[in-house]
Amino acid sequence: MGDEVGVDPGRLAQAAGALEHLRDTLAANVPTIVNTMNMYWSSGAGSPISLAVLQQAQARSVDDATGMRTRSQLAEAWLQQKTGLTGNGNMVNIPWGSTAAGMQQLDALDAAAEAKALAAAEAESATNPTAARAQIQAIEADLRDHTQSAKADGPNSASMAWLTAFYASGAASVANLGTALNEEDGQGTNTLSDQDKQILATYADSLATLTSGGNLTAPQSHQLVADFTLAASKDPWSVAMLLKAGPPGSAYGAAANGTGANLLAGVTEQVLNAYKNGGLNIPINLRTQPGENEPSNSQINAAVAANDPLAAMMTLDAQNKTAAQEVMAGFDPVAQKINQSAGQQWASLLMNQALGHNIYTPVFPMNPQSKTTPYFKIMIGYGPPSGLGAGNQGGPEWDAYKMDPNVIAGFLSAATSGPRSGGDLSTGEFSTYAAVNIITAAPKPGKAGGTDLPQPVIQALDDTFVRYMPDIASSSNDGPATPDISTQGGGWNFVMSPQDLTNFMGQLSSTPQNYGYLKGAVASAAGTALGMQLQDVGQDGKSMYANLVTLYGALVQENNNLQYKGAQLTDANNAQLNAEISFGEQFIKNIPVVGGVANTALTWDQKMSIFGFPQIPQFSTNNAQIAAAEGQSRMDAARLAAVVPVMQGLAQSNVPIYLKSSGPNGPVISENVAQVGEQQGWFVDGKIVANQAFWSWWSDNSGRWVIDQSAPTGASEQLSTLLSQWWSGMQNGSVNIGGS
Amino acid sequence: MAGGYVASVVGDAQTDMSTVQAAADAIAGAINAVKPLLGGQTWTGPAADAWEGDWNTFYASVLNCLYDLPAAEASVVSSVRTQAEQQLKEHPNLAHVSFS
Repeated sequence: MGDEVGVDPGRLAQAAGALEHLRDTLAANVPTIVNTMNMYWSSGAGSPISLAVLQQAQARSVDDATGMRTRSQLAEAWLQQKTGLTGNGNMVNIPWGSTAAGMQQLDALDAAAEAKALAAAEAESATNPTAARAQIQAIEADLRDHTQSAKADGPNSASMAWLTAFYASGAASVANLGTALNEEDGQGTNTLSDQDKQILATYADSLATLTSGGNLTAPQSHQLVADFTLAASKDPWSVAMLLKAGPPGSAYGAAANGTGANLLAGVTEQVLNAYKNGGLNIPINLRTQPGENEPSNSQINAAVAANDPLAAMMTLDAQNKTAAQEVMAGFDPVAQKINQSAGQQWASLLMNQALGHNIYTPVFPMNPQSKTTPYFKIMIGYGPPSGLGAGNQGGPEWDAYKMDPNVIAGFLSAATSGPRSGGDLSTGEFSTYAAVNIITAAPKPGKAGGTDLPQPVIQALDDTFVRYMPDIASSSNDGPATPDISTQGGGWNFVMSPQDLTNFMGQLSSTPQNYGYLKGAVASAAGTALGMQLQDVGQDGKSMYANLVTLYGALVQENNNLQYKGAQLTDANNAQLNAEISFGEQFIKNIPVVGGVANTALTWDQKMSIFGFPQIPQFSTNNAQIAAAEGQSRMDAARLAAVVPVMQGLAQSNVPIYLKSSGPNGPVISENVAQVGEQQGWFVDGKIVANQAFWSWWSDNSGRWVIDQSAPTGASEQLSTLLSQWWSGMQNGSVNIGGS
Repeated sequence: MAGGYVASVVGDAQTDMSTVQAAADAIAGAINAVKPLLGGQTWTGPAADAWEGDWNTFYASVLNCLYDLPAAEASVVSSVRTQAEQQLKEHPNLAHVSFS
């Protein structure tokens, strides 16, 4: 300590107060003096003098006051024996901070002292709540100032360094703050007062500022994540409530394997483990409920929902996205390893329990002599919890608490929303692992003796399906017994056995609408692949077409289990056609195959852009109905749904269609599907519009020809034959079109 | 009435200068309240002594500036009076303007 100074804490506090008063006085009065005198002087009255020193004083006084207050706080911490500083009598030795290094040291010591003071305050929460709260709020005020300065001044600012130093030793105390505040003023179902939540919000905001905008070294980042993960393993409720009170999950930073995403993921994983092990306790204590009446079940349910650590973390992770991907991948941010089986277990836990959780609800009269805290528990399965201890004379009462399925859905959807690109421990890798874990963990559907997932969760699985359709299509054809995840071809992808897809596909087909939607998505992609095969776009189009046909066939086979009939089948067909029309528009925007395409080799990214759906299109509600009304008088619903993707695929791949006008040796007229459609009004904005004009054209032109460039000698087929072959192949799940 | 115009304009200037002086007094008071708390009873060490020396030097210049203000204020009032009297000579009608 090169600039160490002995100080009297009491007098230093007075000096800090006097300097703060001077700062405020200068701020209030210097503008009055300068503005008034300048007004007169500028009109020619009086003899001007320089007032610059007053303005300099106003600027300087801010730093003087802040610096002296920091020194004073440090000296005060020594008085309370909360720092390791040395002292003698009423004097303590502190760094003065007259150099940059000295100021850094001063700040670091101050931050550490405040972290220690927070721990001391929390230790007093139960016995001396008033004093404890005052201290927690004093630290909160300082934390708020440093957070605001850190946001304004950036990652290399003194305030960001202060936050870094504070969390280096204070992470555990901040993580414990929820429980400490609850001990101070929690009452019955009201576990945290509004003031508690405001305090937690300030602390969480400072944490988010540090994780997203800080300049943490790798060891500092790792330690911070490890501290919060460890804290969550001990008290998941407290950590989750801290984070819930703060900013949205995205505010913590979403870099893959970054501090913010890792912190959220580490905490979430501990919450999931606690849930799995029956350790998800909520400090709702009916013995401290104000009034005479026991809360109703609905009130208890609402309180549990507001205090559910799992729902809180899943919401934050969904907002962060990367955190959700890391959790579902099974990434351990502390060990820095992907533990795929852990991710699969958590995925299974979420989906198998998506229908509801149980809470243990102790009721009045509780044994007044009991020292056992009557925790509420969120637990898996039914039956009384174990380990509650004696003295619970009121007996347990059971109630069902259902987590909002939209929360689970948002989390699952975010978990597979990453790109395909990236190296090790990238969002591409996490997202692909998450997709595999979610698919393989999907429970059996109701018709197979399991349980149908809530509709929002099924829609989240739809997201995974359409994003990873090429992988799923490939897997439906053949795949290894153990899922294989790799970066073959330049992007993260997977292949698994058809058996691993069974439950997932069954869940997705559990409603007629979703079943039709999936078939429409696959048919659209298959139409594109057909067009690519006819244009001989390398081997990608051909193999992809084969895979998608197999996948479509697998979906058709699902109907053997589903046995949709009548109105349900109509719903499914309408949904399929609606999906085909809507997906078609997205395809045409992404497909890179326009113009001369022969033998074009596709990169994996291009393939993904064609066959995977980065975003789910917003479906208009009336496309299918319009198309069905106009088309079904001419063709049965299933064939109707086949014509659209076939023609869409030909149009977007620029496949020419031929009219052999006068025999094999006569002149050949070539037409472009998209141009003809645009002229006749049935190809608009890049997609087939299944209107009357389209069906009229089809009736008159289904005898035209296409040439399969991928066949060795360029085999030709009539459109009507192509459609029949498509139809047959899709039903059977095997390709027999062209040279295939 | 002629004196009324000059008195009114000068009175406004005097009021403004009083406000300025009150602000200056407040600042000087705040500075002087800090001074006794800086020094040997509060801290011992060259770093603090250097800080204190710098602070004293700087705020001495601030106080000097504040001490110069009364003369500057008087100069303003005097100038305003002179200007008002000159305006009244050039524009006698100002004598009939009511400033109450």
